[in-house]
Amino acid sequence: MAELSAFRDTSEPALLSDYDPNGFFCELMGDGSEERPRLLPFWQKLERLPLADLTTRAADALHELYERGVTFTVYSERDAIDRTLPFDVIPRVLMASEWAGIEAGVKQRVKTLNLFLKDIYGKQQILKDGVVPKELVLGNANYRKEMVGVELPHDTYVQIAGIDLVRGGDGEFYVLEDNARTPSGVSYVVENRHLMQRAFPDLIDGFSVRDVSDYGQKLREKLVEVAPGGLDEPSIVLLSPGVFNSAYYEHIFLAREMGVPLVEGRDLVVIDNRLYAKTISGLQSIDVVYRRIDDDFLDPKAFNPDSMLGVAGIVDCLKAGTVTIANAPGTGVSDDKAVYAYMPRIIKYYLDEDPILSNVETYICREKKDLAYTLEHLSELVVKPVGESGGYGIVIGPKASKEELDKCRAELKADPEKFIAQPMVKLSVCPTLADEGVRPRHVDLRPFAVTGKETWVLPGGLTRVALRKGSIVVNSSQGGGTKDTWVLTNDDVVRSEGNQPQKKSGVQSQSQSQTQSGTSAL
Amino acid sequence: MNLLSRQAESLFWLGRYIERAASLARVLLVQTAFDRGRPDGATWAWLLALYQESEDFYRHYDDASSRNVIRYFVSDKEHSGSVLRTLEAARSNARALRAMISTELWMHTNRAYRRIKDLPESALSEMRLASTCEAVQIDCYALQGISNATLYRDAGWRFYQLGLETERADQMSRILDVRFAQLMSGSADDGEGIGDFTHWSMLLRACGGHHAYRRLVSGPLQSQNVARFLIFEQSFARSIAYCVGRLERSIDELDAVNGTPASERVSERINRLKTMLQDAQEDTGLVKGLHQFNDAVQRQLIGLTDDLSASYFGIDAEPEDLVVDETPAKEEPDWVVDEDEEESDAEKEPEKVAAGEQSASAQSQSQS
Repeated sequence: MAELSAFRDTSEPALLSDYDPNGFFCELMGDGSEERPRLLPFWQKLERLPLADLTTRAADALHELYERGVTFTVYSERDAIDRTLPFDVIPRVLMASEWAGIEAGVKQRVKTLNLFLKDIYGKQQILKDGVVPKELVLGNANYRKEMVGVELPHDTYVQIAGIDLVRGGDGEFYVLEDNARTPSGVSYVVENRHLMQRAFPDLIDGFSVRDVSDYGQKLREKLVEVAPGGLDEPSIVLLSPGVFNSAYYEHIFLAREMGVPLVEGRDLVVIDNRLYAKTISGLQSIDVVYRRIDDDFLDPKAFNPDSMLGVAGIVDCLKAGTVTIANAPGTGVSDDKAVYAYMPRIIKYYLDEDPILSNVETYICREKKDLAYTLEHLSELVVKPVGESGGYGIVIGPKASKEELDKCRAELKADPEKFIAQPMVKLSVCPTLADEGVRPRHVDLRPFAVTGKETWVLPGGLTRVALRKGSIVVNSSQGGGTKDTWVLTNDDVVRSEGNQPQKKSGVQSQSQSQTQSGTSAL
Repeated sequence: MNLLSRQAESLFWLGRYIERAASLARVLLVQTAFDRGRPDGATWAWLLALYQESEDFYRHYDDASSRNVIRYFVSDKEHSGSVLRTLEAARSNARALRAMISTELWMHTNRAYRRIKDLPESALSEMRLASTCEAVQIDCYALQGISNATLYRDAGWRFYQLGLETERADQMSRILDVRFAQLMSGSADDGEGIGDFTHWSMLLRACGGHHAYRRLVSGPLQSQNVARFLIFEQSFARSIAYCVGRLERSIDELDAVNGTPASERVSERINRLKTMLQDAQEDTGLVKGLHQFNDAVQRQLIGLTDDLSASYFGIDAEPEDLVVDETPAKEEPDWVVDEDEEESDAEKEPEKVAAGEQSASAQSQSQS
């Protein structure tokens, strides 16, 4: 392990003097295989912040989020309590070269998801060719037969995708999960950046970090591209379940950033397969709906008749080609954990390419051999129910009690097709501010991709961090927080020698010397 | 796209609730700050008459002691007319409007609500009540200032203004009505020398018009002058006539901004209010008939809320009844109803927005 101490004045206690990634790949330090720590100039800057100062500024930053209403809401019997998603002020930094691989991999993944959906709601060639078991798709609860034969602009089903990645002990990124329904969290990506720029201008100065603030405009562009009939100026709305939804802040954020109205189901009405909004001057037609309502609640006429949140007949409009719904109904079948296991084969099938981003090794418990392996190695594996989201129902073998394992074993034997299993990934860590100082905490990464004709990936994405020591569950519903995620425009900055060159460096590029002078000016 | 009906309605009520909380805080402040050390003592019971809430009050409290009345109007969670519940309703509407209003307006609505929600018991003591009420009043004025500085001047702004001015006129009319009745009772006077200086100055203060009146009229305070000032004075931003003028202007602007012709029933309503005011101005015996006048004003304001609701907020009909296209929503030429029989939905003043569904999708949509 490269020691930071070799690169600093050790006569004074420093912020990271007792930081130890404990054998995990560290997002800021690397795995110690390199001669010098990864991202050295960033470390050196971080080191100069006194812990007390960092703690105070972190508290101020959280307070600011609260005041600005960047919150999610918890409801008790009579009170609505606004909470901020915990935010850690030490950013996670991705090098330009790393990002290039992630971006290409995410695009490949999204392209495949759309081809797969087009196929299974069309000719079903992939099922006929036996690449994916037929019943796995057609018998899936998220398969919507209402979508069979429906033509969509540019054959795009998944306009907005969030692909969950983890970095393993080998420093490589793996896909943990695809989110092709209504992935959330992008508002935090943008808000976290703005917060860092305000609260820690000294930390970000001198680095050239890719901008994330144009997400709303990009999303809008893509939604225009998929408007029905190629309309130039479609009328777009964001459909929210309303103020009681925990992601309501994000809906506000996106509506504002796109400059489109935030509507609820009760604001809309369908007449003769045409969608309208109820305005003060009567009904106005709507062309594109970015919906943040799950399929089940989207259209009481087509799906769950008890839903009060959706719009009766909106799916008829989609079928009639008068409205685009993003994402299309029925995309949930493509990001299902059971289908996920087949993704490497699906990519190969449609694109004749190898996956740029690998899957985490997955055992499909519906298959006898995999089930036997899973039962035998239960205490080493992570078992996940298929068809669930939000980290619910996951059993982590090495951390589970005997009772939990026994219960899991019984469930596996009873309904093997409801589960998949994966080995424990040695999730990478990132320095994170804890009560006792800066400590390693596990992180994942959710890049967001928006697709119209083509796919655009927001540089960075949401870094979620498990704030509890040793925890690997990063879901915000289960005690996770977030970090700002920097994608550097250029790796020269961090490959340079920092402020204490120990050996003579080679030719310095213009950007290097500029950045260095910026750094040393601090 | 044009303003959604739901948003228009929320903006209207946002304007109303903020103004209502400000007015309530001012009335309480004046009561606690000026009605002291007088032989007839501080009576708080009149506040119950002011908001017509005696019945509800006595269901929950034994007597109209200052302590009980203060709690009822400031922090009582069960009382929809308390400062707490009024600001809560303002906040609910602001929450529904967050994509439209400025971050600053939401931030400050939140702060104002939290201040009253987290109020310590001691803040209601007679020693501290004045500063508590003052803080609420300033919070509300700040909200109005932020609204003014940050809301877009689109149709939404006009609905916010319509709410604010409707409430302001209504509050003025109520305070005038109840205070006058109180001052005149037991007096056989014809309305020319009733009460004393303190009473009239209290009334003016409760309406936020004491200093304004003083600048305009010197000499002894006379009931006739005070009443006329509060009703007709065009340079006083809370006079009923001024508010009605602003209502008319907002409606005219709304039509211009919205690009559709005025709702006939709303315009007719405004004209009625104007006519009433003109007639009253010429009426030399106004003070004697003040209660009838105020009663009529309040009726018209309730009617106005109904008209706005039917013309702009209420596209609730079944789909087959709806008219597609640019045709204005609804027009009902038979709006003229015998005043005394006029029933109103607006009196209930539902806390718009608050009654939404808390569905399972709230969970499934959590940050997965």
